[in-house]
Amino acid sequence: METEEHLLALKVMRLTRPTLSSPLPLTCDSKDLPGNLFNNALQQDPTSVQGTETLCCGQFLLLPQSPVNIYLGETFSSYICVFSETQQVVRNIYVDLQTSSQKLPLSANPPTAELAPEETINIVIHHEVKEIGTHILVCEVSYNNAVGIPATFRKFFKIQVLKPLDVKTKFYNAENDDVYLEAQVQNITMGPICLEKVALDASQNYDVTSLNFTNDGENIFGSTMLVHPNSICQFLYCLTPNKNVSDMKKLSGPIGKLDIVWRSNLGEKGRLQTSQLQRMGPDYGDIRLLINELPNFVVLEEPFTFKCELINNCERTVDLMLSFENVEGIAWCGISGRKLDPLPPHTTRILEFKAIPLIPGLNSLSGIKLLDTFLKRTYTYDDLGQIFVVIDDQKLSKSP
Amino acid sequence: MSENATPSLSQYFVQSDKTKSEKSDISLELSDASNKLDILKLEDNQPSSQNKNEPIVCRLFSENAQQPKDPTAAFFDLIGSSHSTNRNGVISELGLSTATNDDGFAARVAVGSEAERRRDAWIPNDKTRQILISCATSPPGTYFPDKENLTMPGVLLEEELGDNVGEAVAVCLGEAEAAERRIITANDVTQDERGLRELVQAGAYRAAINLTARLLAIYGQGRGRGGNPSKHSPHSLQLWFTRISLLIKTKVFSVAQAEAETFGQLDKPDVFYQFYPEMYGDRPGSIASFSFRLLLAELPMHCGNSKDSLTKLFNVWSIVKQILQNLKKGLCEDGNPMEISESDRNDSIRLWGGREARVMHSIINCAISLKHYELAMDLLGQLCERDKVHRHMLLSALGRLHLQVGNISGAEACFKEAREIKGGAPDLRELVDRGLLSVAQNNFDEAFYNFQEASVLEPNNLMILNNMSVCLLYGGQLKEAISVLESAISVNPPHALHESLLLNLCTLYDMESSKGRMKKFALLRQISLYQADAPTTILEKLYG
Repeated sequence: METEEHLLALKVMRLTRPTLSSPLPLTCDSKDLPGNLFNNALQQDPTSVQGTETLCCGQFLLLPQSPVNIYLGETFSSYICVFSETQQVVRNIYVDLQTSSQKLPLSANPPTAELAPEETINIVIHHEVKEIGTHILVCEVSYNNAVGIPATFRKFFKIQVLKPLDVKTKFYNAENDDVYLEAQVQNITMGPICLEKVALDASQNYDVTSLNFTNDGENIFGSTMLVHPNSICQFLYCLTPNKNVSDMKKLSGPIGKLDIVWRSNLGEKGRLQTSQLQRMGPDYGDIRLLINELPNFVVLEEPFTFKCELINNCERTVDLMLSFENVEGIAWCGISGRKLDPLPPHTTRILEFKAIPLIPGLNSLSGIKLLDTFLKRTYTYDDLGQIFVVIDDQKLSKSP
Repeated sequence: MSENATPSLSQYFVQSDKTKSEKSDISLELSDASNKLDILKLEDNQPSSQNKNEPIVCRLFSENAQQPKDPTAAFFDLIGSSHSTNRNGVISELGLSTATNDDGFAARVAVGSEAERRRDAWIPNDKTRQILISCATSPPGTYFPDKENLTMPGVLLEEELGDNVGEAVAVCLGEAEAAERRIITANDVTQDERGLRELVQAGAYRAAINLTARLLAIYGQGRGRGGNPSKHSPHSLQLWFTRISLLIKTKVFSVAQAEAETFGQLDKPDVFYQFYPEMYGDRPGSIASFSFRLLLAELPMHCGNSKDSLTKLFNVWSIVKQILQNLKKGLCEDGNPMEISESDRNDSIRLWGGREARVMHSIINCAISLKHYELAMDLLGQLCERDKVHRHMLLSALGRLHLQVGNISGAEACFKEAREIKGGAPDLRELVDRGLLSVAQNNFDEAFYNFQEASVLEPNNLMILNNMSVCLLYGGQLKEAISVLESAISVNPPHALHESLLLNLCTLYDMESSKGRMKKFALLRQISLYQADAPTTILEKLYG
């Protein structure tokens, strides 16, 4: 593309983290043929560390020797060096960097007035990469030559930004309105990474408890959250709705986002935030029926009672008709098809039920039906709760 | 060829009468070269002749072995004495280095036999043990193991290694300059072990490799002799150990691997003394040194097959552990219920404890190369627990391992503990570790300051100067970065013309201008002046 000769040239080097270089630890006994020559050579090697010569954990910084991938959330750093190719003095040099979205002047403002033959313009750029895919950095250098004729040349640098992490989330709704969030963070980079921080920034409607620490405050993953390529770390959070959130519908929608900070080779840092995690709020409909009191054990063929909380979620007073269905294992005691007292908006009421267990073992409570007489809509509550039915026994019969 | 007229299929290294020959069934294939071989072995074979009629190389070897100090002793003593102060490094603690250690052992040992037993002890695998028992219990000359149980090495490298620096000079700077290059070659030294050491000391590793090939030819293990039976002695195996070490040092890994293949893990019977009862009587143990075993276990790692190394290193470790267990149970190293004195036992436990630590170091290195950092950290943690004397150094290494994977808080904790153990004013290591921590936190200015502080303690420390230069680059000061490295080289060229430092400097030259090429040629000129050898990777960088 560029055929014309320029008085200036530009070189660019990507500044990834240096690595720590170590010698090849060849040693021998003093009785071996090389005597102490190998050991001495090792001790005098500038890359060996005194006292731990035979361990490859050196202190000698080695500049990056091979290209390293760049990942979303990392910072692209680069050294840009502009130097003169001639003996002429070059004036008014601008260096600009064009990213996909913006143009950044790199050289100082006002432009470098003059560049003598032996001088260089040195710029270190840092650019946080925020998109996956191909990025093209365009470095543009404009200058005036010795006789004042302007000239411009450009250099293009292509960087391929890869995705570092794969985050999968799942929600579990508990009966007490708590929400459990399970987040799987998978390392899909080429090398191991260290997760420095994984936190859930909850929306204002929730209080969040991280369940990734023991009671003593220790990280359950150990002191190092080292994740190998393709390995997954799983985190669990408990979200409790704020007391002041009365409308359950507010609890649907955004519940927060995960903030992840990781580091790799010699501290190379990356940071990602997920988009707002959307909770598919459980659709409770207008009314809900929740177990309030229920014995764990009941005796076969003896009546027992349990209590339920009836909640009206909607903005109108509902009229309900309660009926029981015959189900296996339980005989309901009470009147089926009974009309309940009207329930005002956003109020609750405790209902008491009585039934007789007919089959021993674990039984689930099913067969309660509520009919909204206005909408002609039926709510069926199967598997509302579970009871364990025991056969009459001296010990067990004493327990309530 | 006359010997072929009386083939004796039933003989393996058998001593017959005066015309005895080293014959095996396979030896029928031996050509003229075997005549020479036979003459040598003739002398070699006489059990009583160990100090009398050995070939020249052997005599030199035994002389050297008996000398408490070798020609470079002054050099070692320097390091040895510095080690006797309390800043002695792990190397000496591992029992690897120095005359000091030997003297420590030798003082209490009347004859070398105890020290030899400790040093050479090894537990062969079951199959080998059976064969060795057969060797020892059969009447001389009646037991012949299969060929597959023999170690049959030979030099594979077709030609002697040339002067690669000279070649690079010829290409880049012209034949005239190449002709001015003066280096020591295998022809310039005595053709023996002393000469070999001279070459190694001069850093002329390629020449030393060439000399080992010549010396091995005397044992019938020279060029093209692979796959032919020959006898092993401490000296021949030491030559192999040296040769393969040097091949690794010069990064000729493929040859190292190919030539080492026949040795396996040194568990064939013919590398044990019991295999040659007619020569060594009932002396037990391994003819191959422990260093050779370790080297062979590490070899696959250098050739890019670290997994293989890991298995082999763990195997070595398990045997070392068993030896230590035997010693603690009141047995000999190899499990023999022979009585040994208390001081002997303690010396042995110290020796093998040191070897165990050395094997653990190798496993840690192998784990790092596999990026199996948990294993490396776990073992390094174990070493910290068992070696209280060097705990702060090991913690500092552990801290750097944490830095390498990006665990900054873990690294800080290690460095802090190391500092508390050591106490006092921060030493060089500590200041450098601080600098590295700043690098990890992307604070290159702070790192530069830390390194600068360290450089007050040792102004000519190359590692520190190098690290300062790296920080300068990240701070946008390319020219300054270059001048730090250039001045480091001008102060101490032989030492500073080091592979990693040169890689850094070449990288900086590449950035600076289109004149980088000339500057690289200047570097090449310096290497040619001061170095006998240089790694090929560096030379390729300088060509570019």
